Amino acid sequence: MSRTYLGEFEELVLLIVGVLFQDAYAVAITKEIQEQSGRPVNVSSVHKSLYRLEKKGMLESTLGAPESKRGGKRKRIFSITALGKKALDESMDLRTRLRQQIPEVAFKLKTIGS
Amino acid sequence: MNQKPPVPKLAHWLFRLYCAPYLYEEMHGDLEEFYYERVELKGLFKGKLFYWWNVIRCCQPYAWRPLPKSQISNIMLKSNIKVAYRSLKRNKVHASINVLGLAIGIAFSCMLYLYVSQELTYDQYHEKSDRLYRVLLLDERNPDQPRTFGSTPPPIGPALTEDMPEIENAARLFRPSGQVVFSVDNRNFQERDWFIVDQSLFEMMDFEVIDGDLSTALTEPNTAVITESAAIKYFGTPDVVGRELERGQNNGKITAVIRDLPANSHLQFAILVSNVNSDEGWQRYLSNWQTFGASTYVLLKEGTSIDQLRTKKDEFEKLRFGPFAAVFSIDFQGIEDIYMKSANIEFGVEESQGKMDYIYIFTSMGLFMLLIACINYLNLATATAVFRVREIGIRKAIGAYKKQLRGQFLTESFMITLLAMLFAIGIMDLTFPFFNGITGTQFDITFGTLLEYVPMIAGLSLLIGLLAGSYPAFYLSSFRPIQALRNQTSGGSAFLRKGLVIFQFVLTIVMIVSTLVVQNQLNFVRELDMGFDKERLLVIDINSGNVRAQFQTMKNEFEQISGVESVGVSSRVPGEWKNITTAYFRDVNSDPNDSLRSYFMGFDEDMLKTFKFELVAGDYFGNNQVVDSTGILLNETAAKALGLENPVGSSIIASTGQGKVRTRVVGVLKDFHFQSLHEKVAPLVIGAWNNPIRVIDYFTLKVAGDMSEVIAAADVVHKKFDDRSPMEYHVLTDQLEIFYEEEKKAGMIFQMGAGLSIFVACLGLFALASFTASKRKKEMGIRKILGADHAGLFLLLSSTFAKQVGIAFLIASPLAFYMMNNWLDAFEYHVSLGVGTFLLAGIMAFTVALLTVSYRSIRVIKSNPVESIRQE
Repeated sequence: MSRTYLGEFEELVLLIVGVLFQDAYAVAITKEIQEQSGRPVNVSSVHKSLYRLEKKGMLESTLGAPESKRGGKRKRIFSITALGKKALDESMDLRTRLRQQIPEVAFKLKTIGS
Repeated sequence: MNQKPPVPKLAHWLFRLYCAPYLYEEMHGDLEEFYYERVELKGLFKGKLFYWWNVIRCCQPYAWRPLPKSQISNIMLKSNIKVAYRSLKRNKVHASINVLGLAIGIAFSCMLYLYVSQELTYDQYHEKSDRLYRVLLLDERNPDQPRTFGSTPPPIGPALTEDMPEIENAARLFRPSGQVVFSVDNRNFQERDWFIVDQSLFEMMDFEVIDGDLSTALTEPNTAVITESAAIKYFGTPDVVGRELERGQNNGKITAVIRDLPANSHLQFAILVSNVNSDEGWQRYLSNWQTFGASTYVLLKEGTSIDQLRTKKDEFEKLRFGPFAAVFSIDFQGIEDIYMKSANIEFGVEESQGKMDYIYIFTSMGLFMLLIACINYLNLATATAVFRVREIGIRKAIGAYKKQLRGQFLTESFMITLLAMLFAIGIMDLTFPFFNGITGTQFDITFGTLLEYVPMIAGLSLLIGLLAGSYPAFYLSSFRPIQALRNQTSGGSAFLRKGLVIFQFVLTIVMIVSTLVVQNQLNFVRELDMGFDKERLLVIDINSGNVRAQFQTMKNEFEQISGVESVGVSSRVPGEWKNITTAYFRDVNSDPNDSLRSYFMGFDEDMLKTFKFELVAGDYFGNNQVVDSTGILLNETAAKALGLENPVGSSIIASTGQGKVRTRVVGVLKDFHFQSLHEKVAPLVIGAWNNPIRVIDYFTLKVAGDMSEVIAAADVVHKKFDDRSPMEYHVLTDQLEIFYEEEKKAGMIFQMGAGLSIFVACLGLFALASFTASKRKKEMGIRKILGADHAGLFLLLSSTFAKQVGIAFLIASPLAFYMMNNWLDAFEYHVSLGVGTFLLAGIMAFTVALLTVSYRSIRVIKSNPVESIRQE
């Protein structure tokens, strides 16, 4: 994969994985996203992003211990890789850089015609 | 650890089916965690719903089990599936409308199919069911009113096996006195579902044994076989072989436990008692040709036909019936026919009867639903063809064969139906409890039953996939590449599409009309004046000799209860109309052969004020036992049928089984409905309570105060006179409702069907409307700029649909009229079909259709014309 590209939702997932450090598995991530961003998310979308991010090398994962509240099944705990951190940083950098370049006056002036 | 509800098995199974094995553990763990949380927060139903939803949501390529890669055709299929998946994802709204519509169609029609097939397979579970027959007794004395009985003289079974070598075996079932009290460890249970039977029953019919040995179960005196649920009711455990069950003075030993009878069995019982008994009276009864009460079943030898038996029956009757041969004859009825074809049979053991009418109606409703959903698919596919023309052109231009394109589109339609099928299974799983509640059936989806249902559901889905998918597939693949690329193809045949929409709405309107008519009729029945005051009547059964002997004292005590206005005593009450005694009556001056067969009831002097019957002429009974015992009352119909101009005072001869009695008419009652409204008011003769024809069987209490308090107080009185059996009672209005149970059931199913079909049809309409609206967006924009107002545009956009619904209404009305007229004919008293009902149905369909269409139309109309015109 030559170009590392990060989708908007993927970025959100990546961030949340970081936030939940060591406890980042699909159920927790789904709930955290709902809580922090207020948008309703289904666990299937989270799964999809997680597996794709892992494929891209931005996440790595290990299986946790079996738990009774999951019918005795183990959960997959995700953590950010170096590449993931780099992608996040780059994306952040880009955004801050761009944001800083917007002249303040741009927010004050209305465009002509509207 | 506390007990957790398991995840819905079926959904879980589906999940395992598609999920890649290496993802299963973690993914399912997540789903389970969510499921348990939901169940705890929102309850089981919502939890299940959510789980189903998640299983379906997770069915995406990343989670799929990899397809085997070895074969070329697999690669084709894989690519087809991938392309289809993408195309569905692109048109999410259309895809979900299709899936939802089809899923509802499949689920509802499958449920109806299950119901209908259960109704049609009554008693077919016996291995020898094709050779099992019930013996019927025909009474053709009165050729205009021949009677057929489901019960025969007791010796007929053994005599038949003796006389006719074609008969392999015979068995008799008796229920000598209806309800009986069985006791276990001094706890009493009142039981109606019991029979005294011959051991040979087990050699003829199939019962699933849980414990014990059926081949010898009832060969000893005082033995009994019990069903599993009855065992649990009586003993608290199904493990009861060898335990004692008391019935009166007889201590019975339980020798076998059998599984509960299948729902589609006309024979339903809790306990079977052996017919091996040395009691002298019983032995006399068993050999008496002049009594009734045995339900007799025979098993034919293999290779013989029932017609062979029928040719011999005259000889048999002559030999065995003796002097009664002129009056009675016998016939045979196949056991599989009993449920559906016993409407005119009296004194049968069957608990309920099926109606062929409803089978036809439900079958057509299921088909309607499927058709409506298929039409949606077809219409949408051809309509959206416009948007796919270019895709098809390119595919063809780079060398795709027609065949491949067809395969592609069929794959798409199969994917949709497959998805719809999964949804349908989910819907069925979730709605079976409600459906069972309505129809009184016991369906559910478990692993065992799913295996039975899968061929049906899968077969149906395949058929739909093929039916609904093939037209679009052929149509789309037939585009010529050049025209397609130049975008010169029209969006499918508009004519066909319109026709199909009209067809959908015809079906929908027919269903709405039917629902309204059924509802009207049921309300009519509920509110019709029965000819007496049916409110607040408490009917108490007389079940023991002691109660019957002391009824006068008991009646006085009932009258003392506060809240009781009056108490009547009678042999039958209106509403408790089964097996009303009949007898022959004639005017003393008329020809003895010219008798009227009339229903007969015995009333005491307080029945008039308890039921508020209306007296038209003469007087009511006083309380002079001697004088009144030979007095009778007639209803108007009987007075007319007897040809009496001044009935009061005339002498009537009553002939009963026991002989002739001379009676005197003391009064005439206004006609009242003592049977269901399916029947016309029949002639009724009413004797005093101490008449010689029929003993009293019921107390009726007119209640003014609190019903439950009166019931409690009556129970105390009842216990004083009968400490063995619990008081059996019912409120008359509830009992009357039972007459119309079938209709109520049908009404509910109609409502469901009509609601769902209009929903599905509107789904299709919604999609079509949005399609048309988006196609005409530019036109609307231009019109708007040129000065058209919103209302005008709206009219323009919705007029097509309005016209279609209008035409559908015109076609549907006569159709619905014909259908519902037929249905109403089953009632002797029914509503007439008014124009109002049809108009209401039309307006409903029209309004819903308009609302559906308007959502998209208004969005287009309101949009900024600049945007729609600026494209390109």
